[in-house]
Amino acid sequence: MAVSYNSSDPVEIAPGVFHLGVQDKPNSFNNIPYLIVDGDEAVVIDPGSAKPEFFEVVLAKIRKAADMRKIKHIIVQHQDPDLCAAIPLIEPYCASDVQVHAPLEAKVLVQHYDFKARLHPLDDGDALTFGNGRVLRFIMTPYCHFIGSMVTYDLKTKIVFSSDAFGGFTGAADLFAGPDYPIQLTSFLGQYLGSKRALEYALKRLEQLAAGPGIEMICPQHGCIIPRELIATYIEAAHGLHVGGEVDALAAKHGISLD
Amino acid sequence: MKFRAVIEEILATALKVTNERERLSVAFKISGINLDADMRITDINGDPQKALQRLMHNLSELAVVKISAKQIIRRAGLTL
Repeated sequence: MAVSYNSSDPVEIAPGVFHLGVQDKPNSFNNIPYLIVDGDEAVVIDPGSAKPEFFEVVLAKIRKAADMRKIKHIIVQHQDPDLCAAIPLIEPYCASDVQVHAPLEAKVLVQHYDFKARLHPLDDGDALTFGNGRVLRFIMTPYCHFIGSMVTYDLKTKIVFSSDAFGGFTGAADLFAGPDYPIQLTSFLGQYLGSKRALEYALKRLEQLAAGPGIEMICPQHGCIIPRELIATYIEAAHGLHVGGEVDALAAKHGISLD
Repeated sequence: MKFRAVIEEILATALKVTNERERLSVAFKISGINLDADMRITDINGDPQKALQRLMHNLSELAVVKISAKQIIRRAGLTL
């Protein structure tokens, strides 16, 4: 039986790492922020939407998992409102010196969410180091699906927080990828990604990680968590994706040759 | 026949990406595609190509289903 999440309790998916997912039932586009708590520090990754039915769930889940004053960092992995709009709402509850971190190319857009915290730009290979030495490494995945897109690798738990990469359309609140996830994932990624080259680059970076330090889980911001034993299968499925096809469809419809 | 197969695939995918069965059923029905209680196609009123065109219009309120359907239509080599 599938493990589900609810609208009131955070799910601890690894020691000190919490899934704060909100089911978007009418739109089948669930929204999943994550919280990492380690000692006196906490980090929120992709805090989510400003819509009350999303934000209030996330806020309640964070409060159950940690003292919000421990939140010293908010990481946003690209600029979309479904993961950034909550920044100004969550900010007043966080540490007074909380910082927001975003990929360099997304920073110029993220500023428009109008929060007070310092906005720190990130580039490939940058890291965020906790006071106790725990490291979150940032891996840029350009054009996947925006120039300023990245994934975050937690060296301690070997979790990749993948943002839209490996996301899927899901109506249910399943925590882990089930038998329908290949269709849910390919339906989403196949339409939302525009560049096969960009996708291949991102996949090869993840393959390097998997072959090197290892990946225990891929945690996307939509859809379901992919556990270690399924990661190779999903990377293989993603290699086979045809992306950017909407351009071909509209070109055909309007009699435009792109050759 | 190809259009019916595409409609069948859109329905099968829709049932995997959304739990909104009632809204899905209504979108198919007003497109002239009738489903039984188990969400299987029973019959299509008139030309399946026209039914598919109507379905794509009527799926706009179920965005993820329409987005998924576009991919299926393209893969089948169809231009609506």
